[in-house]
Amino acid sequence: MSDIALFPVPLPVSSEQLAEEYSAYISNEVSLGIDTSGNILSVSDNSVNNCMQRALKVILTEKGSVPTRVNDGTILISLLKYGYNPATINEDIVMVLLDAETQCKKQDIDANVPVSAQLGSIELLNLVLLANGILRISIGVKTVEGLAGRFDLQA
Amino acid sequence: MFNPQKIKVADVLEVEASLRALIRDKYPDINVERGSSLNDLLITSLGYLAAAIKSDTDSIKERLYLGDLISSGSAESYILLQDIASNFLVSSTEAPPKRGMVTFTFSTDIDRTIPASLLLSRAENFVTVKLFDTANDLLLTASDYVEVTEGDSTVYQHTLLMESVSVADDVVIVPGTFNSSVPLVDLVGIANATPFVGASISEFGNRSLVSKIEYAQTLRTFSTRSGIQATILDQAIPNIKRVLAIGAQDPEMARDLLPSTLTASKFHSLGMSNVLVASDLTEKAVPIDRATNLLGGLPILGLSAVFSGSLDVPIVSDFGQHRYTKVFDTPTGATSISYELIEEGSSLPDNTVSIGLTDSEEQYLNGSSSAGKFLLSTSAGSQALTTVRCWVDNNLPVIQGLVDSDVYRPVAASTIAISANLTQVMLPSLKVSIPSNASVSSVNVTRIKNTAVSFINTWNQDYPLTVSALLNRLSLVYGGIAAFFSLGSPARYVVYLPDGRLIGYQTTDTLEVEDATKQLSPNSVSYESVLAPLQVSNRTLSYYITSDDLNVEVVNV
Repeated sequence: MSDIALFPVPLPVSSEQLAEEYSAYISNEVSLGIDTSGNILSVSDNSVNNCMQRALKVILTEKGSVPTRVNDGTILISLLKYGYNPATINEDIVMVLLDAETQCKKQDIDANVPVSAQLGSIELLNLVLLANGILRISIGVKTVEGLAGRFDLQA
Repeated sequence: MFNPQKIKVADVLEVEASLRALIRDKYPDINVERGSSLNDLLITSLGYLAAAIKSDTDSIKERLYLGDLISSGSAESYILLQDIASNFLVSSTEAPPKRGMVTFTFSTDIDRTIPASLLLSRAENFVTVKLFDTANDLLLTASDYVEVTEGDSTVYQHTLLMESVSVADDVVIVPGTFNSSVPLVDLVGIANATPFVGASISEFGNRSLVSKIEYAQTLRTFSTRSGIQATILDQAIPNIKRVLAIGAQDPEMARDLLPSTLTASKFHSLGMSNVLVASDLTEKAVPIDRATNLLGGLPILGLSAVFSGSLDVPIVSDFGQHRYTKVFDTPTGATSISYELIEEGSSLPDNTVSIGLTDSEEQYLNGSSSAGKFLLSTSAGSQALTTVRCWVDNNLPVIQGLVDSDVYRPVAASTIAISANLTQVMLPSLKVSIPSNASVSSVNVTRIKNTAVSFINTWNQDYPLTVSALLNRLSLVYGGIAAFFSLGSPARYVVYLPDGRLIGYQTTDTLEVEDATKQLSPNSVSYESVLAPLQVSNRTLSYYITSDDLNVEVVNV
């Protein structure tokens, strides 16, 4: 089984800036991809990329924004939009990731994703509150099989 | 803009499921379950889009059908109805005021003028009423008064249709006295014996507007059924179950038969019509004048009970050798009817009462409010009667007032509003059979009773009620609870005749009067020679049952 693949759309950023950010690319939106024949690209259920894109989708979905499924998503976007308490931001983000992990695991079971490719855990690898008020979160995603990936969120 | 209030979850889920099924069929290798990007980003979005379109099409569909607009809870529905109504030159108007009959009592029958600007008030309730016909001053002459003798004094009464000045929803005008805004010569008093009636403003909504559309092309008149319906609707007479126009040559028209002294054969004069009205009834307790034992002044259709102090007094009706006795039992609230064969002309048993008319012409005027209309007769050894409880139709005097008004006065020489013949139903054993493994206590007997009572009391067809119609209705409503409904014993019913008498019937099929074999003693009273001349027929019956006369038994099968 496979799902359509989501690809981050890189912003035109200089290589120097990427080096400063320790990043391979910077993106603020995702897109579908097509192959040379014009077919939409897919990603296998067994791929860690599939696990990551599902986790990313849950984490970045604002809770309450889907009228028929009000519990889907997390409060991360709300925290970033409406403000957060710097003193408790670590705990708040951990709770967000736990919420996302629970939802992703349930979705994996419902969608019959192979056990080895199901989500194992979502971890907060790093959280930095920069001097200019920017928050950078590094999130690690690991499948049951142990395959891991990571991405950073900055707002 | 996306409006989540218009989107139904069921619609979204239905579209999602359909699209998933389509993709699973075409592309079995693609994951379309919840959580997949394809589902969350594409299918769910399409679900919302389709649900939004469906919501709009549903809304358009609702606007196409009057039936949907009547029951629509949408705030726009009334505006849409008004748009449709404008095509029929029908517009929404304020609810008409409450209307009622007011009796002016004078000590003399001299010619006098009642000014059109007359206002009557009841100070304590801030109630003000005015004449319904205010085009001209009203000139009363001696022939316009009804002479009423009370003891040694004689008074002269004239009754007029009046209406409340205010149309507010909370205007309630109960029987009582009024003060006149202008002095009237030799006035003894002004009073209304029956309450003012009228639809509330809240009732004057979608349904009435649709009804007005249906009757838009109909002449407002008291001559045809549609015309009567339209008029009653316009005048917002409440709680009407059914109306029927009866004219010459109709089997229920006996009022216009020429007397046998004038013609040997049965001959109808023309120009008379009856407006037969079936309304929801009100039960009213009335004290009896011990000196006269007369009863009247109210639109009485039947007596539910007669009391002598706290004693229930059976009501006896004799038809030659046949006697029907109706007994009301105060402790249970139940009514029973029995029959016995008697020697013709037998006197009444002690502590029973027989009801008759003081004026034989009143037999054609079922529900008329004539003073002293009924005479309550008892045997010499009986205790004095104190109170009666009777069913009254408060709409009837108002409809008669409208008939007589300048606005609606019909061409017919004589149009009279009469009431349908009250038919009290008793169901001694309504059996509810439930599956053997179900608990008897799981059946809500009160709900079943309410359904049956409501069905019988709102029967509005021109053909008689049937037992099967009732049982079918109950089976439909309680299909998942009861296996079937049946009668353990025949349905009994009492028909209250316009002359004050009553007859008991029983049946397992149609509750009718024209088939005399259904009388408690079959063929004891001839339909053709006794009931038909009283303008009684199957289509003039109006059914009424109380929950005390309905006994529900729940049994396992």
